[in-house]
Amino acid sequence: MFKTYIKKPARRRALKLTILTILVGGAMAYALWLFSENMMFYLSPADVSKNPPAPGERFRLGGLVKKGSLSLDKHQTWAFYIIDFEDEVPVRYKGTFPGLFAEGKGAVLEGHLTSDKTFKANQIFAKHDETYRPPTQKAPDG
Amino acid sequence: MSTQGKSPLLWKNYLRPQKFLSVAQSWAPRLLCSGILVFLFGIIWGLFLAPTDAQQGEGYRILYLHAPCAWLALGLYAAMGGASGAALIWKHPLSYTVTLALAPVGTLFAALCLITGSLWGQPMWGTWWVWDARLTSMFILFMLYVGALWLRIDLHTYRLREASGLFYLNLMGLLNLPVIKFSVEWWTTLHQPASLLRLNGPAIATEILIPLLISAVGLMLIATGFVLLLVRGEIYKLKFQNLQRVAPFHGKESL
Repeated sequence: MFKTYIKKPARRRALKLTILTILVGGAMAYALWLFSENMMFYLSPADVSKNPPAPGERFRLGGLVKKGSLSLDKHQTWAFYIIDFEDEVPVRYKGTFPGLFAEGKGAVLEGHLTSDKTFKANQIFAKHDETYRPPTQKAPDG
Repeated sequence: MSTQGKSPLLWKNYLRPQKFLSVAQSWAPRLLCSGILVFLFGIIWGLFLAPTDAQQGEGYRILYLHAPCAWLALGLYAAMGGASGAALIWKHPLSYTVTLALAPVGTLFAALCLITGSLWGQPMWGTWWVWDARLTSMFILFMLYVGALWLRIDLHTYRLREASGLFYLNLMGLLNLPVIKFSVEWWTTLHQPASLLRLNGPAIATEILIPLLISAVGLMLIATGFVLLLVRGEIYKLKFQNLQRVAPFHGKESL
């Protein structure tokens, strides 16, 4: 039955292209899976505590800015915690913040760990979530 | 003249370039005009009447341009990949011309998506650009469009059959689309996750969602109108080429 079905040249070409697409797609998926760690834009606090990068090694740290943790010391250095649902990482930062940066909101920081397990940030990006609602409307849970 | 498809209802009728030409001729201006009206309606609603966003304030309103452009860039690429696959399988002249017509329109929307996204990123994230998985895969989509535009030049200079490289590129480029869609789920990104097509339903309030969808429909109509216009041009070019082949001009070398 297959032999008669495949006799039409168009069907043969369709089959060839399907196989080609599956092969290329499979190779691509495998490559993406292999390099998945490098595709991550940032590490979460849980990633950092499970598998901490060496002090001085540059990476990005992302999560929520812990509510009530933001403080400014006399050397004009900001201190706060970046948290996820499992862990938290103390952060030191000297500089300006993007407009959306706030306690309880998402942020991605570039920098490195110091020897006392504190993250020294050089640059901060704010990360907003996917919800869009008027200020009068109650936020969804969480 | 035709040997097949006498009934006007037969869908294959519309695949005949001559029939397609007349349909495109009457529909392109209708789609363009109605699309501009719908888009203006949606974008004015979004920019001036829709409520402020609780998180991002007024600056979020570029969403009404950015998200529809992104959806169209992806949708047009899906169509172009499909037409390229059809070109390779059935070698139908309409599939060639549709592939050629989709490339510039898709490039426009991919570029608009990147530009509006960049303008949005600067005030909100604090950067014009980062190489996270979503932005990178979207940039690759733009480069695939540029590749399609680049290869299409050969299509007119040389004979159509020799241009299958373009169709293979577009077909394989389809594999990038799921990567773009799921990049925000598979990897950590600075870009937000999906707001509309997500497991728990849209995360956009209705007052914001409605003008967004209207703006998207308007741009979709405009894009379709443009594509039909360009398909017409491509069909005429093809006819001219065929004429040249059948009855070459005297002194053609000087052309």
